[in-house]
Amino acid sequence: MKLNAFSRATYKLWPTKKILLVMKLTTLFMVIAFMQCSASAFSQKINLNEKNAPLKNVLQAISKQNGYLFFYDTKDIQDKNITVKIKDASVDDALKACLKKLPLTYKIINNTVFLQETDNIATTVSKLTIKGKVVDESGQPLPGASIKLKGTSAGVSADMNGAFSIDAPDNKSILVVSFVGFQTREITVGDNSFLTITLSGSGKLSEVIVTALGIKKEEKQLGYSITQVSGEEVSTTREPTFINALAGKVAGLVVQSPPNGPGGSSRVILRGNSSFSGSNQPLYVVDGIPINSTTRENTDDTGKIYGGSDPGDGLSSINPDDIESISVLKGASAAALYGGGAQAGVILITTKKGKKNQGLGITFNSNTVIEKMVPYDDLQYTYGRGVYGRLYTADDFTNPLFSSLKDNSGDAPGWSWGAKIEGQPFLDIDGKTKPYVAQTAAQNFDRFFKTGLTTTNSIALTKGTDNGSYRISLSDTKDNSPTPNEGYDRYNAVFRLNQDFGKRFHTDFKVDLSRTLRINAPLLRGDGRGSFGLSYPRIANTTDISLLDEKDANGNFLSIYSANPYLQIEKVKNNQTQNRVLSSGNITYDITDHFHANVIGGIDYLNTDNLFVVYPNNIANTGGVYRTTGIDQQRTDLRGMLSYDNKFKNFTVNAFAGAEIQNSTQYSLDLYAYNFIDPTLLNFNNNKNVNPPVELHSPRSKTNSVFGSLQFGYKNYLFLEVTGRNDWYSALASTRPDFKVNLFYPSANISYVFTDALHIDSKVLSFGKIRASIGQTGSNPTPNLTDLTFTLQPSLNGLTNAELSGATVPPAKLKPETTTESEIGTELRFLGDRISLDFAYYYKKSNNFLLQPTISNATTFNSLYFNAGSMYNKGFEVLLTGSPIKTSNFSWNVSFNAAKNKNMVTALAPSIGENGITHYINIKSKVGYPLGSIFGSSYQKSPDGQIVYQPENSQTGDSGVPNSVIIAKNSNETYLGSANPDWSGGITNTVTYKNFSLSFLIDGQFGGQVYEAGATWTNYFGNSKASLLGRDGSYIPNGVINTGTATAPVYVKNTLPYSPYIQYNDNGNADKIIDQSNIFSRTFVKFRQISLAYALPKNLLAHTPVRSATFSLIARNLFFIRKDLPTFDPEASDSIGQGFGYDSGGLPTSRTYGFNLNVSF
Amino acid sequence: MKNVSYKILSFFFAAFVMTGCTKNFAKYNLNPDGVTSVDPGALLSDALVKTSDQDMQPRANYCHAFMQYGYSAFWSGTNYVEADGIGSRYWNNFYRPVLNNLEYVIPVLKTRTDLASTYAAARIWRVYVYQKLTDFYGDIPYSQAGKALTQNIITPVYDPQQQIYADFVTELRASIALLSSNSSQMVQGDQFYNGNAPEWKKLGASLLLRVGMRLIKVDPTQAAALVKEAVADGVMQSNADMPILNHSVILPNGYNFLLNDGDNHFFLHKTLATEMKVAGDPRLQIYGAVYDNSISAHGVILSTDTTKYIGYSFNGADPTPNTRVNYDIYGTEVTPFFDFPYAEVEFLQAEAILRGYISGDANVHYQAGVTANMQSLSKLPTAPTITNAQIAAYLLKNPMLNPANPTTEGSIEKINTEFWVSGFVFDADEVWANWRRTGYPKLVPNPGSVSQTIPRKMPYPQTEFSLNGANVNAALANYGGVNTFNPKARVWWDK
Repeated sequence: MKLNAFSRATYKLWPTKKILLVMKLTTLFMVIAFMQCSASAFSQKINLNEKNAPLKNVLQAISKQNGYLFFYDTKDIQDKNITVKIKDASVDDALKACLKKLPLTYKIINNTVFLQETDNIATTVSKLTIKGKVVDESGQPLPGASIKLKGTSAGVSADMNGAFSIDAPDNKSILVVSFVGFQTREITVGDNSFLTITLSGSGKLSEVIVTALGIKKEEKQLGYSITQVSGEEVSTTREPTFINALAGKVAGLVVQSPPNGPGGSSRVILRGNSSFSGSNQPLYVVDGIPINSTTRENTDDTGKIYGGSDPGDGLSSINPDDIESISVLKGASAAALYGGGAQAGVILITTKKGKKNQGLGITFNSNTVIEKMVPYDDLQYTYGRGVYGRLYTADDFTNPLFSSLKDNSGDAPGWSWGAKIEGQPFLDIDGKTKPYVAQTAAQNFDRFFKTGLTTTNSIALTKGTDNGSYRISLSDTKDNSPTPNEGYDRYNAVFRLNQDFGKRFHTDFKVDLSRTLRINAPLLRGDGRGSFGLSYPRIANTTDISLLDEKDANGNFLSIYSANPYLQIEKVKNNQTQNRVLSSGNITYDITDHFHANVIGGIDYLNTDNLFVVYPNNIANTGGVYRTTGIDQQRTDLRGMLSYDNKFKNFTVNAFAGAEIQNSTQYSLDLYAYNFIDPTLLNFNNNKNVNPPVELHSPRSKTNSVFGSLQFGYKNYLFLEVTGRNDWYSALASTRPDFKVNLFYPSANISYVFTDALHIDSKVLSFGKIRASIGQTGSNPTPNLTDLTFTLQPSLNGLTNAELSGATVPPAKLKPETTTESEIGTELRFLGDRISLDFAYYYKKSNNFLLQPTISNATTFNSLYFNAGSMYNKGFEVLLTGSPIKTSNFSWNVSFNAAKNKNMVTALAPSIGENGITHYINIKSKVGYPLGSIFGSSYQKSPDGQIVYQPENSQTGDSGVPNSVIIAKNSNETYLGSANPDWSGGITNTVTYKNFSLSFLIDGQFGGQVYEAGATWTNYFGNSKASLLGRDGSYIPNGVINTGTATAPVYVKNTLPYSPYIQYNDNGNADKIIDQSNIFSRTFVKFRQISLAYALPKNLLAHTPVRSATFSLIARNLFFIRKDLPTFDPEASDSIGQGFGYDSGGLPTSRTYGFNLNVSF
Repeated sequence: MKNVSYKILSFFFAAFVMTGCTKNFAKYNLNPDGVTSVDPGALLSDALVKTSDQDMQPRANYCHAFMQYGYSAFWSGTNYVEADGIGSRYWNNFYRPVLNNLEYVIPVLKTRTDLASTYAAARIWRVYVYQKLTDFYGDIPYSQAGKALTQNIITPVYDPQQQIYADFVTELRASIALLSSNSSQMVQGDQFYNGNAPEWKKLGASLLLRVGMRLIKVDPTQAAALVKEAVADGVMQSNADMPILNHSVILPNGYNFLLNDGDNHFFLHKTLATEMKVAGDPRLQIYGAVYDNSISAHGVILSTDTTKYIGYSFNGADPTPNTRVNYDIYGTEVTPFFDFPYAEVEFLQAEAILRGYISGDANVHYQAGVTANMQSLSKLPTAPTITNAQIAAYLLKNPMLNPANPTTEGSIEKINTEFWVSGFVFDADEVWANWRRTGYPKLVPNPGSVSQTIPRKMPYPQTEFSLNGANVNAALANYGGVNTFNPKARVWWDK
């Protein structure tokens, strides 16, 4: 019975693996009755009525009736026909009847029948009965594992609990234990009468991969690159948003989590930027249902929550403990079955479920992490608060230029353009005279930030029954971030039910309820209302930050200095509540053994409420702001599919076809009121002014699709697959004529296992496969832009007002975006799979980009929606894994991945022309440059390449004869770099010794630049190390001065000293700062994570209800091995979309340390 | 097998039905927050509202600073320095959304003979807005502006101001003629005159007067002809003819939040305060007041005794200013906006008479202008009243014939100095244009500024260089090729 359950599952999941197994065994044995086993209740009574039938058929008949496995040597039963007629016989009797005239004898062990020639049997019949259990690394039983006696034909299969019993001749016998997906082990029986055999995943040999639409395939069948990652990768070393834990782990996948507070959006890029518009984020599919994962960050989406903070992308609502595996579909061929929307790749998330026939299981996981902010580095502490290289004087306080010093309100109080810090008395911002000493970032960070603490507790219960299983998981995450009053809470409740109805109906239902609370999400992008990233670089380096927190009896800040991060803590409330229901239902009906019908449907419902409040305060000069926004998003998906699998001699066929309807809507309501009546009361009605509520129903879209796939396999080493999908988009439809709404996305791929085909059985090359694919995907068009509509405005003086909706010119016609990607790759394994290499090269051409580029306001519109450009991405990916050391107690595994990508904009519509497309401040796309390159003013150069300096007055504020120089600005827009890295990659080392496992990940990116607007401020305020160059007036730069005119230049050698003060500050004028001085290399190498795990020994747990217990110490974001960008985080960015590459000085990064406890009962 | 085939067939049938449902896609794809058709009047009305409910910061930051009406710590205009983020708002807030509506609705109205007067009104307003733009920036996109929808022009060329002005004349003449022949037709979406077409005709003629007088330096002959034509068509006759936009809390006056922005914000300038004090101007205690603190810091009025008024001075040694714009009058959300003060029409006619363009008594028009402006202030919140006696006393003290310079030129200076005083807040941009046209009032530039020259043309928005580069650079070549406050750059009529 139990064996039967296993065999059917095997058939469903790993048909070709099965074939492989059979092929291997055929030389000696043949297994019959394996595939034919059905789920029917077996009879212990055998009925036979055969006349001169081949023995093989008779044995099959027996097997069919009782489900027993038969092992025999094919030659033993060849050409043997028998006649037998029995009724309601026992197995023993039936076999006796069948074999009575034959020179064969049999033995039944554990539902398995072994047939041998009579002569042989005596020699192999055992003297010793070995009992044992086969388990995986986590202690889970491996039902159906094969246990063979080496050098003989005897063997058994493990039962449902992984238990087996085998007879061996003596204690020197060797057992060969194998199981699909695991490495085969040989064990000497020894003196143990009970063996617990742990098999470790081979990871490669026969991995089953979840591919597009949830179809499971064996890796060798795949003609394209997919990387599958287990859920453990994201649950042990957890981050609030699971995807962030994949940084550096998958070749070609770049994950960046800008410091935007817990639960903030992540930037996830597969194989480079794939679109001009949108976020370039991949499609996320959870248990077959695409979910809402688009961030509204840095968009003009009217439903967006307040623009000063990151509104999150919805990914953080998924509890990492519920994730079974993650499949990363990188290329167009892998993702072509998702058609539009898959242009940026697809990430498939499979969540955990219970296993059939499994007993009650309880898993408890507890994770505690402390978090410390990492102080900004590379700031200068040589010169302190002041100006002109001296301390502020009483005169400065009345000088109109710095008159704001009086009340500490303008910029000047934060300037560090003063004297050398030597402990002399100086006037601080609190008006007190104190010693002039540096207040380092480390000290000020300690004063401002606290130690963050995040705890996560999850409990999961699973229970298997004869015809189904369920899993319940509850989890609670509480994150108190280092920023005071900031935090993140998440609650998850997941219920998953798998149930069979009869033999042919299989169902799978899941509901994932989550609630996430982001408390005081930090303000970003230079939001003046207390954003730390904006404030800190603007505070003088001799000022104790806590002075800014001092208040008078009325609660007014004593200093009204605008760069005050305490403002946000004290006066700004920015809370986000998100309630989500992720549900799916999946019904499969086996029409025949080869035909299956499947219907899957799901709803992702997301409700987000945001409360943004600025209490009246004397810094931001606000009378109080109260804004509440509610957004409802719903995405539904319904898919029907019919699949066919079969095997004909040398050929296998896997085919499916189906149709899908997707629907996405959004609704938001915005309420805004201002000018509080009572400055401390939080109440919508406590406002003098209330704006009328703004309701929006947008965007909404529908996509209808049909799709199909056909895969042929030949002799299990050559596979060819073609797929097709046709999408009909509502977003391409217009009430005007000539709008085509559909597009067909084809793909084809081929996989060739040449080591099998050419019978290469080298000890050196143990496996070799080459693959090639070509496929097409697209992106979902932006809805509701194809027709001109009008928006009613508030009426005035009794008259109706209306304006043209939006500011976008509707297109005359539209084509969907398409991306065509070809990919070749190979997978090679050496030395018995000790080393494996996966290599992929791809070329991805994207056409007809649907853009909404900004256009001149003189058109009376500000953007245009049309097909505007093309680009390509090309690159390669390498994954190299190896096990340099592998003994029974000690192992060392290394996994290295690297990816190189090159992106180039190849064409833009003529109307965009030379100007290119502006995505964000300084970030543009132009033909001949990578997407989202950085443009701006540059250092003026003479024709012979020398830097041109321009004479200025000195930094002591005098006037008259120029006596210093600064670098002259070339205001013409110059290409300054691209944010995209040339290379990215990571290396993971895992060392296992007995029950200990130590793992660490180092990852990095090479190449790419960032426009660090934060450097503008550290330079302007004189806090950066760059601002030191020439402060003492002694640096005479080697360059030239133009003594002629702009049109007729005469260059002479510069002899004057450089003035950083004029360059960067110039008495409060930042106009002389050159964009080029804000460009830095983004290159970094980071010691990303380390974990040390200890699994309690099994024998210790033997008499407890605990099945396994693992304790891990973890640390993340430890330090940079290399970082080129001073002060700020090279992964920070204002935008995770097209504005990527521009950072206005984000929040500092944090380091986390913690422990994880996982206990299974 | 039959059963299976049936199932397969029905499955594909279902798939076909599902995907066949694309017929309603076009409707489904319409902007769900919008409507597909609106009354053209609603678009005109919206354009009229948005002309003054948008951000007026360029007018404050530059025109008020240039004309020495006021001072604010963060008005770069005081130092004749450009801040593109502010300077571009005029461009952005007129092209979009005001002209967006007008450029769309005018071709629609053209086909509607039943809406001929509305068509004319929309064309008049379009001239009104474009004139503000071209006077501010010089050559601007005009003939190709607003043609993205109909002709797919997304990089409109910049037309020479001379041609733009020529088209203004054509447009205004056509509009005035249309209003004459459809005078009984109601103007739809009229925020000013309850749809009264003859009032729009007066506005059109007044605008023609303004356009004509702009040309006195470059083409006095045409200026004279246009002024004569405008007066013959019938310009505004009283404050009742004045287009006033009555704002609400929901659609507030665009100055609303500009006038309470911070600590060192909107002090009256010493130049204005001194002039008015010397003139004994009763408007001074309406324009400003001595405040204890900034409005945003809940400042309250300490005094309206004008002898205590201290305006902002360029000279740092002068006393600290204490007089801010009277927020309760000019800064509230519901403060009405005077789109085209009637007083201007009188001042322009007075000057035109002195220049011999038209006949009449210049002094009558001068006095009517001063009177109208003083009386118009009663339309503002708190309804300050200047009595007839105060007006008479003022006129007695400040006659058109300047005793210090009793010449025609002296009178022209006096008229335009009054023009300046009367244009405080609402009409600062027009006063700046008038100053460039006439040279009055005589202003001493900020000695602390680098250029020491009051700018006469605003730089183009920086975004134009990235979005419409070739065209803006071609236009810029006419102004010295430098997109900053170039003291040498002047618009065409300001030669």
